[in-house]
Amino acid sequence: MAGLLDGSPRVDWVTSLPDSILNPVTAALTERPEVTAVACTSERDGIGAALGAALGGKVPVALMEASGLGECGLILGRHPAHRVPLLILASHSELYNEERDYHFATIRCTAILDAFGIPYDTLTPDMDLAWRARSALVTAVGQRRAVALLVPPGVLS
Amino acid sequence: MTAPAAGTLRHRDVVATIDAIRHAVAAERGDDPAPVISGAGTLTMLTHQVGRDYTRGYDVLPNMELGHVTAVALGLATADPRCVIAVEGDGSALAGQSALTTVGTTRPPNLVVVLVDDQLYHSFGTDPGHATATARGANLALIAQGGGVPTEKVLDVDEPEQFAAALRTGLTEPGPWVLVCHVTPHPDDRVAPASVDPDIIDGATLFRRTLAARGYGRRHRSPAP
Repeated sequence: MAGLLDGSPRVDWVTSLPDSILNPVTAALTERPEVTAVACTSERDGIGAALGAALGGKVPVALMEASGLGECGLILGRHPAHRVPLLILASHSELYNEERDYHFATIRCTAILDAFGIPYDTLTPDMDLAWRARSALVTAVGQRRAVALLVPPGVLS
Repeated sequence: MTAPAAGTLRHRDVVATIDAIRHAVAAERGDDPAPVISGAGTLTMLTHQVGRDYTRGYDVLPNMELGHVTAVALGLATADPRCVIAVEGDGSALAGQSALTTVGTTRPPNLVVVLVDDQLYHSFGTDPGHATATARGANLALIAQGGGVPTEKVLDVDEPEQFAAALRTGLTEPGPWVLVCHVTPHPDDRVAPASVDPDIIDGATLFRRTLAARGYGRRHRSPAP
């Protein structure tokens, strides 16, 4: 949270769908009065709304299960045209701690990031998570582009 | 089943009225016109023909992707308290129905969603078109209401004067408003597909810079040390 909310740039707009891994982050962001929160109905709407919010000068973060990335192909394809920042936090990855068979499709949706050339990192517990989050946000804002962090099960306490 | 439009409202009326009303309201308030996020195809082509008064900045973002117009406008509306207009065709609105639910639950008071329902996938008007679900019973007004948009803020219109009055209300009274325009396709509104100038990339930049010049957000860059 320190990486997202402290210093400059900082996140001041968040869209989310409930997700068991990211719910604590969503809750912490949405309770901050300086952060505008939009609970979207689908992830594709969330990315679309994040684009609009960034056009309005906000620094947006979109939180979703990685399955949601699969909903967002078209709008992620459009996003680079606008040269605005976007940080995506998506739960799950293809590699770490994926013990449930029902995430078969979910973890494959991370390929969307590769398809659209969105740089991303997979967080692990040994990392300085605040530094990773801050650095990703700096790049999103400085380069006016979408970047992503994948959060496998077990990384966030 | 949604009845075919019985009135005289045309695509061209919708585009021209939006530009006229948003500029008129802005002049009355001494403010900038409400920016517009527009869907693709006919709406964008007509916007370039009859609704492109950019004397006060490039504030109409055309050719937004199918099913995403309302969501992008919603995001902009939540970022700044000034009014935002989404203009989306029925095919796009049906593809992005979840956005109407997000509008209904978020309820930004400064958002006006104009849904242009001609009951056709008719992107450029150069073929006979193919029927959308609104020609087979789907009802955009009910979808918006079912998604949580207050019933009294969802208006069906099919006459030019009716639409002008509804849009003026939308830009001057708290919303969110969803204005479902039942339009009658007209041969004169058929426009050939073409690239427009500025194109998507240049237009995106111009739109972003126009909003920035109007004071939308000042925090994209770290302050100088």
